[in-house]
Amino acid sequence: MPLTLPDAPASAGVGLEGLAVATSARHQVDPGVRAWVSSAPRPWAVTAEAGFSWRTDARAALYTSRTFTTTVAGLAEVAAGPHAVVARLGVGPALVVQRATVAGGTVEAAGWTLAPGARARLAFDGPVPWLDPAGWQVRVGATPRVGGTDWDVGAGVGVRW
Amino acid sequence: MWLAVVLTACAPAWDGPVVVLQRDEAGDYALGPRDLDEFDAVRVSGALGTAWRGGQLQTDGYSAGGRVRVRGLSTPDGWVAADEDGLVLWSFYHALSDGEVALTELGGADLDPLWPVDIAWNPVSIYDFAAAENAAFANGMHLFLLMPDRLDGVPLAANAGVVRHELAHAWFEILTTGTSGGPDPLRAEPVWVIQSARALNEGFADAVAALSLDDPRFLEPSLDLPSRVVGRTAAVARPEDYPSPDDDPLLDLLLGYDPYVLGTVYASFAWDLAVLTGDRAGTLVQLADALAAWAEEAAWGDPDRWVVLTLERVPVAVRSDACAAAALRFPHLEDPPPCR
Repeated sequence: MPLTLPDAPASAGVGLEGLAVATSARHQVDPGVRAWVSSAPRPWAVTAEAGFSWRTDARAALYTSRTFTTTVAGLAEVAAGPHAVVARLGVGPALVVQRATVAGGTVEAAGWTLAPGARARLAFDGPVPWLDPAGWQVRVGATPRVGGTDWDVGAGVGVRW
Repeated sequence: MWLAVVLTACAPAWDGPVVVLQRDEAGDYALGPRDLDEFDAVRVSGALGTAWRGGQLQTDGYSAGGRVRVRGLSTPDGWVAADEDGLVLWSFYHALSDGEVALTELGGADLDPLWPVDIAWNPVSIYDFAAAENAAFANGMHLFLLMPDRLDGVPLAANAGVVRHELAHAWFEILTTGTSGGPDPLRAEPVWVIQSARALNEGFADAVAALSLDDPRFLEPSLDLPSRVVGRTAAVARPEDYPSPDDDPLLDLLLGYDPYVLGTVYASFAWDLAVLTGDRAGTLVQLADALAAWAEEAAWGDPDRWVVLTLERVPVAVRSDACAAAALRFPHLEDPPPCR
């Protein structure tokens, strides 16, 4: 079975994920969404990704701490696989933008953190049977950045053309 | 609202107070600024010790998972940790600092062998700590363990009473072994002896927390456990609360001996003494002195011996009242020598 797929389609979509975000002292798993647009592999391709996750930690009337994490990345990829399913392995630069808010009593604070980094991601793209041009994607990724490394696993649906 | 933009690649120099959870005189908790001397807020490190992320806790020690790195938001009140982990770690260090001053000034504690101590945040453990939020002192390991995130009230690691309770375990170790992190004198003892000493250890820790804060309900902001209220009338020692040489060690390990039942009785007795004398500081000194004497006798399997040694140190003017209090808490202790 040939591994390269010179005529695989481009794809785009959006999905849900679990994102293990590096905090001050550990990783905490947050829910998130991630969208992607990938060019057709020849077998080289490029992908643009944007992910968003959120977290709320609250202790009764004492404090509420919220963190919103946005990750954008551009990946250079090599793709391979059987005809229906394509594996895409990509690496590239990333930027993680976090918005943090903390409130409790008379204390109220908010701020932005910009953390440059890199991203590596392995994704599998495939068609949804009988629903052409719909497609699916599952992926795992890592985003090492200033302040720690975030890990993600997710799945989504989209279109192929 | 104060807005801050922090570029982590070029973080600003940290200076000034950090915002922590603080306990007021009424026992309520709220966020407030605290100036900590020579405190590296990013690494959560100072003269008292250093916090570490993750890592592994095993029977032979702790291997750290790396340095903590707290991100801060600048506000007119001081630096606010950008996430809960940072806030609780700063609050723990603040409570540890206050506890050190209180135990030293009130109880005459010499905690020097403890500093600097390691503070492990959420390590992987062979013990059962990961199942629930917890704060603990690991005897013989020179280590505080902090497990976050399961309760709705004041985080245990930020509860001033809980932190003093854990600090009192460290003091207990120093009083009974002369050092911190050294060999455990109980390591070769049978399980029932270890559990007996453990019950006294928990009682001493609750007594220190309650007396140093003047609050027998110090646990309530975090946990609603009426059975742990120090000084409650129902805290009376029963024969079944004591570990016994007849206990099955395997059953004990499987089902677990609860040292807090007897421990609350010891702490309540200590509270009785403070109420009788009106002198919390003097009572703390007597409790610690009696503990050192108990260790000198190596009376590990007889924690009630500490009660007798404490009665010996109670001022003569209130001795008979103290004996009456001991008789109520420990009905089986018939006419101990200091009361004759």
